[in-house]
Amino acid sequence: MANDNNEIEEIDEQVEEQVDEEADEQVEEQVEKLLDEKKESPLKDALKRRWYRFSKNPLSKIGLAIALTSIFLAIFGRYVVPHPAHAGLYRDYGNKFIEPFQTWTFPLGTDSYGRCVLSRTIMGFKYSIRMAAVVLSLVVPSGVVVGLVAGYHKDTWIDTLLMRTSDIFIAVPPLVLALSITAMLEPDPFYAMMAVSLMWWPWYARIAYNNVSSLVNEDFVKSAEIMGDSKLHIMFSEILPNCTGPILTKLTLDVGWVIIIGASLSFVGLGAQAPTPDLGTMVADGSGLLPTWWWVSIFPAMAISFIILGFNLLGDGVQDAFEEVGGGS
Amino acid sequence: MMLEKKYMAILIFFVLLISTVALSGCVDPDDDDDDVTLLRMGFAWPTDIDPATGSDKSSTVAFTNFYDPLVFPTRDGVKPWIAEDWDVSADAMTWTFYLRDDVTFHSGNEMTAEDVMFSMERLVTMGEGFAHLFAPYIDLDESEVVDDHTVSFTLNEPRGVFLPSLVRLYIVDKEDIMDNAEEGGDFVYQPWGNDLGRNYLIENTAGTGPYEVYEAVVEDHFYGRRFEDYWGQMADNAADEFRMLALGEAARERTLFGDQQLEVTSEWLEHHTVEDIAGSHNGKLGAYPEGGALYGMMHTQKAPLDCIYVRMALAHVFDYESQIDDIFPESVLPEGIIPAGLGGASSFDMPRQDFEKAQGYLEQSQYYPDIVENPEDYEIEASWTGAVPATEHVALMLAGDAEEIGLNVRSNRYDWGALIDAMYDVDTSPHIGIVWVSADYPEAGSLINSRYHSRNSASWQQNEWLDNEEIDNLIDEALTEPDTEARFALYEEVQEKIFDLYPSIVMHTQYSQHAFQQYVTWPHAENPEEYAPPAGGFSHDARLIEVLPHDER
Amino acid sequence: MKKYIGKRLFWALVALIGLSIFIFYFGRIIPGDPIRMMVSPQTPEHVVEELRQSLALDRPIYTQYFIWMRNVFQGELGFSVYSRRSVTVDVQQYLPRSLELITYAALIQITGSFLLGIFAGSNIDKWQDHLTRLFSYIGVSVPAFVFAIIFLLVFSHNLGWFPSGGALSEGVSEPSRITGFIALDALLQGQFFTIGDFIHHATLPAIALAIPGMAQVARMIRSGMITINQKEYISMARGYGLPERIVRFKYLLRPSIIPGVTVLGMQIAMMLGNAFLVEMVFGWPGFSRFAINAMMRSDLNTIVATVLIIGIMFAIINIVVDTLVAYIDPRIRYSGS
Repeated sequence: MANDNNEIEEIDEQVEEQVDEEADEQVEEQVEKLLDEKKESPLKDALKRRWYRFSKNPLSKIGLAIALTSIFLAIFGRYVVPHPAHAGLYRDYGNKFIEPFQTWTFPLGTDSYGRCVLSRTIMGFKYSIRMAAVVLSLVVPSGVVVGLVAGYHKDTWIDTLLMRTSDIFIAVPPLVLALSITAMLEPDPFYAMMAVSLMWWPWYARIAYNNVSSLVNEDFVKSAEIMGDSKLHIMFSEILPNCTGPILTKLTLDVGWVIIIGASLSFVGLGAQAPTPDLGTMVADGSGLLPTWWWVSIFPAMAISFIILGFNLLGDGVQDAFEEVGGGS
Repeated sequence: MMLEKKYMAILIFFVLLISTVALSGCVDPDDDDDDVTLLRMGFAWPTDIDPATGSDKSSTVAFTNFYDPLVFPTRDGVKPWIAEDWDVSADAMTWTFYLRDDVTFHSGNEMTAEDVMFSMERLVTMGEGFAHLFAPYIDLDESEVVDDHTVSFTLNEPRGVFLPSLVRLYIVDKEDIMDNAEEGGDFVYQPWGNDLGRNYLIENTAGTGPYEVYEAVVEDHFYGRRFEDYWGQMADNAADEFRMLALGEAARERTLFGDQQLEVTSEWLEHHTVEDIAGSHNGKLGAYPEGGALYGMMHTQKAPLDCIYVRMALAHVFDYESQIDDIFPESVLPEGIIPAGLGGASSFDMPRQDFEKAQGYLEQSQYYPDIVENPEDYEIEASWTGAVPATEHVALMLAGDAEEIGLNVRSNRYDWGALIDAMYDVDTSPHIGIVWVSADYPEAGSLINSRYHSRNSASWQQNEWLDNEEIDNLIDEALTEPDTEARFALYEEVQEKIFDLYPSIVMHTQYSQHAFQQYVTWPHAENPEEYAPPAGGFSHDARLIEVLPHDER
Repeated sequence: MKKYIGKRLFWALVALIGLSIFIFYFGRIIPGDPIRMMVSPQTPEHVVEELRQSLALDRPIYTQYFIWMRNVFQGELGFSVYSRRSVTVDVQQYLPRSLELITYAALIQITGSFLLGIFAGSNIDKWQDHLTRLFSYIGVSVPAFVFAIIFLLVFSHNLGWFPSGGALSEGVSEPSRITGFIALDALLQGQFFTIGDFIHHATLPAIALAIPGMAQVARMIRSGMITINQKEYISMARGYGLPERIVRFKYLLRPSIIPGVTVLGMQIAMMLGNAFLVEMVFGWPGFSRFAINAMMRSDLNTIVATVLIIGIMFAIINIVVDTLVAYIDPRIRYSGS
């Protein structure tokens, strides 16, 4: 048995080595360059260079603008919309189903309660952005820590335990597990966030793990070890900064994913409660009114796509910024 | 360059291929015989076609069309059906039924008293569905098959409502079921030693009804075709096939209706949707009552609703008129706590929206003024189920109205399952549960019992938790009374007692609204005052619904 | 190679067992009474208790788990309080329908993404490229259920090209069951009209499922082509005067689709999740729609079974893709042992 396992492990390593060969080389180069940069130029210069690479593509700037707008609307939405009261217990059946682009009072029309679709859509940004913010701020630190610890203790029982545990939560597509868990609980945005977080940390653990395990044998880590720096110091001060690029890229791209999953949960009725203007819930409620009153669901649907588009463009820009020139995709 | 063109060509070819293959199906697959008329009705799923386990709306519709009950509900009581006639002993404990002798099952077996007895035994043994109407009262050992077409049921206590309850005793085919019963598995009932056909009746019917199921996809549809040897009367143009479809998504129903692939829309669509479907496709609109009402059930053991003045205040803030005008135009304002139309329902001077009155009641409460000063400490949860979108409007309306007098009501959406679960326990029951409840049998006693007797507190049909011994005793007394008039008098007495406690906001007497095709004549929905019996599921009666043949449309 | 796959399978199994324990425990420690939801409102407590006993719901959780596990290995997934029969029966009935949809969607996705990717990759910075890019951004940003709703609105309601739901038209009956797959059974029995009708019904949901991933894969292939195009050996090959077609297909295309294939695998796996929403919007009578209805009624056995089945398919897709990549990519050789 043990023999078998060893053999398997060996083969696995060989395979991984072969697969990662090229990637490893690139990472090495990258690390060297990064180190050089550190020596030669202060942080400011590095940032400048990144901004230059980021802004080379106009789409990245558009993405940044959309993302900032979304965040702005998420925070200040209720102060800029024409009818802030329509997020609450408002009803005015006399004005229900006004068509869009007909009056200035209700530019995007009204829903079955006579509430302003524009106002509710804008106020709905808050719940999507909040979902992404809460989930990612839970997931990134915890995932990265697990990955760092496991990667630093590569091939020990700590590694096996942590990484195999993380495998459990990525053994099915995140939406399926999030649905199953949230469905067993009461429909509530809090539970939805917790469920999505539970599915998401392993991805960060993996990124950190892969980066760390390729760095552990690097000179600067070895030298730090020789100099007697504590494990914690090595993990967080020496290794972590070298993983920021991929983590940051993944993070920006993930904002879109988390918003999609959150909206999907709301769409099946597991998100925020009425009358909260949650975008996914609005699409779901409005889908029952298609096609006659299409605007009730289509505008919130467009809003979701708009936010996700923004963060995806931004993510691509960040990727450009942290990628070495000529680095392929 | 050459290659690019090639790619382009491949791409175009690919797009064309997909669209041709896909559009090829566009040719109307009308291999339905043009002479076959279909009655396709949409329902909120799931549907349970086993009369010993199902009890909700679509299941009772299935029973109406695939089975026959012992007696049939009418606008004012019951009429002979499988039982042609009956006798009752002086003590109202032994009921003898004389059965028709011309009834055959779908299997071809002749229906006899043996089957009627078996149907009762099966229902009571399995204990689910409508078993609660009989299980506690019937003495199966004493009940007997007198001859082939006579059966006598003996009760262990007098019970006046036994007769109307029998609209829920659907007759099943003993031989067919026993032939197909499974031994072993999760369910084994004694003394039979098998599952009593539990598995078999998930996809099959073993009844005498006007339609027999020939295709069943439990999650999606049940197709029934006319039973040639049906004993009863059918309308001249009764449909050749009766089909139940799992629907409820408004957009889909609209398309199907527009393509004339659906004759009757499902039950929980919002009124503007139903009106729009009928309006834009030249359909008819109709609504019928079935002995049900929408209740805002107030938890009388949970602060602050344990104070009658808070309950009275809430009953007087709700905007009954606007609820009817804007959300349920098909329904009508309530006349009493039990919907009018059910035998023995009393009329009361029901509360209407009156903020001054409500304010006055609230001020008499022990919780005043604390409740107005610190409304966040007294959050009142108004719960509704996501299965029925329109109830959300009601919850939000109640919350908005309550705000006017300083009460903090919060709308809370539950999954249907979660709501059932919460309402099962006195501690987890919400402050207010907004739920429709309708009568099992066409008499006020059915609803009074399920809504206010403490025996039934732990269910989704009751959230009040009255636990009032006096009311319990009165209800029991009424249900045992064999004489109809005396029973109705007792109903009246108990309704007055309940009304004085203000346990529920009675929102409306429910009319179920449907859009149906121009070529369909549906007496129950078009002329409810004459046809619709006040018990769930009996108005979707395909025997009486006419579907014009294709060439006459 | 065999050992590698064996190892992958082993760890996938470990993860799935871990997952099943997690979901099983989780479902049973949270409050909720599945039996109550199954029976009618006035069912007396003793009947409920008997039902609970017949389904072993009154035992300690770990006993329940072991009973369940034992049954699973005998192909028995437990009693569903939603459908009131064994989950195995429901899986047999509905899973083929979902697999058919996903296969169809995968075919659309593979064909579409490769054509688009190559199309863009061979026309860098021309309008074809920009169009593909725009399409890919839309694909990534619009959730599958939004696609589903928009398709339903435009192609079904407004244009009337496609049916609005279901798997077969009224009046077209399912072919008698041989494999359980409608298209296959109909083919075996020569019912070509049924196949056409089935494809007609499946097309909109399949496209709604395929598009989000299609966009991403196309992008990967495009950038793969750009990267490889810059490699020296390509210019060398061209320099040697090799025919452009050989250069393109042998040296350029083959290596440049590798990242595409990896992403493609991930995307097909993701469809398993998106199918839940798409089947719901289109009323597709598949497993995902059944599962989501059961989930909404806290039907624990169905939830565990769903997670397990999706997990198995997920693992299989991942392993197949890795093997495939190894096969295409000459740099990876598993024969190393």
